[in-house]
Amino acid sequence: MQKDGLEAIIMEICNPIIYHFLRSLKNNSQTITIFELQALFLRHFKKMPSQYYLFLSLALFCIGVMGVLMRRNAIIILMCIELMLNAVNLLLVTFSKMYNDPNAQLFVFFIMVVAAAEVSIGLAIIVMMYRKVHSIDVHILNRLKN
Amino acid sequence: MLNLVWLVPLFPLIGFIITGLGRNHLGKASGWIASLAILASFVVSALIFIELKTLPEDIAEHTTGSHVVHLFNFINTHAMQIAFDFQIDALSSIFLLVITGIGFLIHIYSISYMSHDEGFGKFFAYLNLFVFSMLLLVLGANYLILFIGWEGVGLCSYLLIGFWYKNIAYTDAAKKAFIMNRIGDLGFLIGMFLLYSKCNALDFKSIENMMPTLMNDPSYITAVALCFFIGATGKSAQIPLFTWLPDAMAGPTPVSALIHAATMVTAGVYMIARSNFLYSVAPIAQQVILIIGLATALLAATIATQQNDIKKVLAYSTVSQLGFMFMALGVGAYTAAIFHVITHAFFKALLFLGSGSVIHAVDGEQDIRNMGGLKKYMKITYITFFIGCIAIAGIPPLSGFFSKDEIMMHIFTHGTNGKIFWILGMLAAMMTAYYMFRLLFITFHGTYRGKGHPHESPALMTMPLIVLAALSIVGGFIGIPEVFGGHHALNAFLEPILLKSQALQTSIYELSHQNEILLMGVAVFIACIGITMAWFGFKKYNAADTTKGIAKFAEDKWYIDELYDKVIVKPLFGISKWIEKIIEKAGIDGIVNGVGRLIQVGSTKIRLLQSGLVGFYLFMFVLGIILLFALQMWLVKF
Amino acid sequence: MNAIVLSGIWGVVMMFAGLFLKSSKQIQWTALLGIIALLVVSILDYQAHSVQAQTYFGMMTIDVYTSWFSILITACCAMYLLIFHKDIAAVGKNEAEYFALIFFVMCGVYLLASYSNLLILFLGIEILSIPQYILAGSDKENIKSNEASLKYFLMGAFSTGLLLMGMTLIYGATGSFDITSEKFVGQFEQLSSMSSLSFVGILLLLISFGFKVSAAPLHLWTPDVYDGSPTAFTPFMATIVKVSVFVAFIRLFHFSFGNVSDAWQIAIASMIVLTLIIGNVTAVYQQSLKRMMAYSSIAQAGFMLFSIFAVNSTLAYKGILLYSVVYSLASIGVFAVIIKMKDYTYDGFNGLAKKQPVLAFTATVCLLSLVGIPLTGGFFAKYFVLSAVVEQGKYIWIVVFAVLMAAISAYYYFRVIRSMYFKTGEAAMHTEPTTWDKTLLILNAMIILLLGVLPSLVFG
Repeated sequence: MQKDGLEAIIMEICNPIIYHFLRSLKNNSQTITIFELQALFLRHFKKMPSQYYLFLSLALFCIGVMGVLMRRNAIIILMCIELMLNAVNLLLVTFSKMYNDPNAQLFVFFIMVVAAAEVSIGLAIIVMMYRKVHSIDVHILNRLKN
Repeated sequence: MLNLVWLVPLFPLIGFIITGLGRNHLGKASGWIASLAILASFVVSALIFIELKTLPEDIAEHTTGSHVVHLFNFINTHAMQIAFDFQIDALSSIFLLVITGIGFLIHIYSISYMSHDEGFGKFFAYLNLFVFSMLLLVLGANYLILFIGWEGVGLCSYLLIGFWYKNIAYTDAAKKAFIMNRIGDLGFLIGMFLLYSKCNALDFKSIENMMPTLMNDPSYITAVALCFFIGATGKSAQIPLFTWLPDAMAGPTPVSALIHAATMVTAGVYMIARSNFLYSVAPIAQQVILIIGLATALLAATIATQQNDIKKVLAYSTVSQLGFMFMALGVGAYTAAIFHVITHAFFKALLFLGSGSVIHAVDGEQDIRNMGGLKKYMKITYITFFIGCIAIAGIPPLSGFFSKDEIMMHIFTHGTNGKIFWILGMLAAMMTAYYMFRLLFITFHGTYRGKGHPHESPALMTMPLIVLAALSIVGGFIGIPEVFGGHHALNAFLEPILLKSQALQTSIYELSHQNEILLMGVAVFIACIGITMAWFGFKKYNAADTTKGIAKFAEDKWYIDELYDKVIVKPLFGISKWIEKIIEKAGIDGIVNGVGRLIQVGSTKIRLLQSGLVGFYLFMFVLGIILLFALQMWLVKF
Repeated sequence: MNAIVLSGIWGVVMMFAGLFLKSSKQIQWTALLGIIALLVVSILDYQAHSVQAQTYFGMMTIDVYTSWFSILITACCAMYLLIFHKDIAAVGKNEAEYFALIFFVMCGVYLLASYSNLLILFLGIEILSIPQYILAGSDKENIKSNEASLKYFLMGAFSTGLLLMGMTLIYGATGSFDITSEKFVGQFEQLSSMSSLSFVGILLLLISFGFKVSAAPLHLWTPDVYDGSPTAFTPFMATIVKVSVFVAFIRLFHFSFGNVSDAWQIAIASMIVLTLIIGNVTAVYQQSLKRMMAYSSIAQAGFMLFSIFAVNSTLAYKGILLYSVVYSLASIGVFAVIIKMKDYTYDGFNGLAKKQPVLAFTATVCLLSLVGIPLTGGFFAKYFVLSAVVEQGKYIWIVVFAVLMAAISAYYYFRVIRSMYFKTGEAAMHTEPTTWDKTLLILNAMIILLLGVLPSLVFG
């Protein structure tokens, strides 16, 4: 079978199962499907310079930081911290791809595990706080100062 | 044996600890324990001396006759290493013998002399501590160990001058001695710093080895030498720091004999003789020493002729004799200076102990106008005192003659002005004979003018007198000049020490035998003139005589104390009062209190950072990050 | 590295001990047994690893320096547990868990002492931190404890994010997490060849380390957390945890980033200045001794930062070792007295010397050591870190500044001594010290005095 254009790209990027799945769809409908769009996107993904990922994850990181600064709800702050960690994860995966080094992806798993542990502790603390003051506004707790 | 040299200072230290701790319990035993400790040191010193004398020639040459015993590392840091070493050589072994030998005799004497004193135990503890410090001083192989001993003897001197601390005048005398010594010590310290800054070492050997390179900088050497000499003027009572020594007679008489005549005050002489390699290449410093020594010898001798306190006369005599030693150092005659130190230690200790015996006999009276005619009451004291007097006056063949004569010979042949210095020195020597015999005649001849019944001292006190008298007679024989067919034993013994400096500057005087005998004859004649003057002036002494004119001037010690008070003390008080009022109160206190207040105000402001709101904390956190980033990026261009 | 394994296992053992052992005494004894075992094991480790060795697939480097530090820090922890075990058990119902958490923290401490991979560094810091969030909030009924826990958690998690970002950026520049690998070392050989990613990464790491050791301006959590946490845990957080973070700090910044010190020295210098000012000046204001000690720990961290600052100085390692031990022991000694008191304010200490001369004496020794008075270990600790800076030769004015700040610190430390000795009051006690307590405190004070005479004892 002739492989040309889009098909070749899909072949190149996706695994054979997806490729066959796509082809069966294509034979049936003769239109460009969502999968073909995704494949196009993936092609760009491969060509896209890794700086973009750096900027993206830094942006995510900064959004996280701003969220931590702006919000007073303890849960939201927790979520924003998670956002920071995920920005780091994304960046690590990017670098992993860049260097062809699986270590960084390993690191990501560790970050996920530790973050999970941290979140569980954090939620426990927030629950403890809620029991005491019936609120999760972090500014309610300011007995300790000066 | 040489490696066991640390035993020498160890015994007095142990003695100090035992007598010091047991001062209230040991009673009379403490005197014997202390004496025994010194005797043990003396025995070890003697053994060391004998071994050093019999050391094989080649080893002696190889090590220039000195032996360094390493004990432990005293200061051991990255930048500075100073070892606690003892150096044992001819010079230190002679001093060891003098210190422990005379120290032992004086300890024995003190057992009887101090027997009625309530501070008996304390006295011996101090004496032992003194001997320990003095041994440290002469054994130290570097300037720092020497300095430790130097300060130690200063401390003991202070403690013993103020021994009868209930008398305010005595404690004042102690303070005066301490402060005067501190002024000198400052010079010594600065000298050490100067030396260390360039040599990175303080031990004698390294510095001696470095001399060839250091000689390229004569002004530096002169500065170091002068700084050390300032230290010596303090300890050895030379102009301008001599006024403490006469006042130091406030202490018990054995103390005056041991510390303020025989040993401690010669520390300056020892130090300069030890630093001979330094002084031999600093002619300006030597000239200064010569002039100051001569001036001190003359000044102190004039004052001594008019004093009426038996111990004050001896004190000024000591200052004057120290002046002679410094004159010898000034002309580079180190052997002669050491020779005079030894003989002077014998006869001056004898004279002081004799005066102590007299004071003991007349119930603490010290004014010679209230004595007289003691000859018939105390035979032994009189005879020994008389021997001491002729020894110091310089009548052959007693010890003083040989040592003083050697100094005068060196001065006579020194440079172009040597003759002038010799004449002035002879003047001082004449006065020495005069005042000593004046003292002898007033005290022992004529009729008794005091109250009570004088009596001879117990055997424990007269025994040391007899031993010292014997030493005063024969002590000179260690240095019989060649003209009398002897060979100068001391000179030969000390030669290795002075080898380096002799290579740089000769200290052997060149004088024909005829001239030498002529000069000796002149010296003896001059001494006899002094004795005759004293005989005619004081064989029938009348206490009612008052002094006038220049004599009055000398009796009041040339008003030196008053001069110091006017020129230094008063203005200093004025300045310090001003500083206290303006700088201290307004300036320093103002700044300190201001800073304190600023911090208190600051703390009430900075604490507001701690608002208690975690949101604010996070905000400050981010602000801090930005601040650190900004600072780092701004200051280091990346 | 059996100590890592044993500390983890013993943490689990302690949790089971809480399940099966009914008596509080038994639990405490189990904990003490554990810390002694840990001490023995770390000593055995030290003897086994006389040469440098890599374990865990090259992720950890064990050398004499790290294993010696492990011994010292375990000894400090043993001292802490020996003195405080009763107080720890008295904090709440779940006493076994507190001990378990302490052992988990120790596991993190060992990881931090010997990591050679950024992953282990991250894990170490997290294993160190997460139990502390719980310890800070362990007095659940006390709202201050809750607050301390929440603040510590939020800020700690935030700093974890920064730490990870820093590591990721450094990874982006080097392509390796292994700080001994060629790629990693090559990147930080000289400033000109370093990429800007690593520059930002280093600063982010510096900041998150600075947060953990409570360096200003990242210190704001410290007073609140130390003040709000149960008094039994404050000394643990302020001493053992803090100094082990310092060791991780110095390891990374001297071994890996030492050649590019220009890229971070200004930041750390400004940190030191701010830390010394804020720590010392704010401590002056405090009325509560516990809170004063919190600020004092900030100020002391300022001094310890000097050893990080002094790159290329052999004295820096000696300094941080000595400072760690002396500061830990002194703080533990002071807190041991504080926890016995009913009233934590200065007035509460009035007249303690009359009532409890032993406590007053040991506290005085510890306080003098914190000031840095000669003959106590604190003097040499300060001397070594400051002379490390002098040896390094740059920014010597900071040393002068630090000495001035040490003079300020004398004010608030001596205020305690004044209260104890020169004021009259009843000095109400919360718990009476037993003979065992007093013996330990005297031993502690003696060690501090001994280190003041022979500081080389801690150099191994």
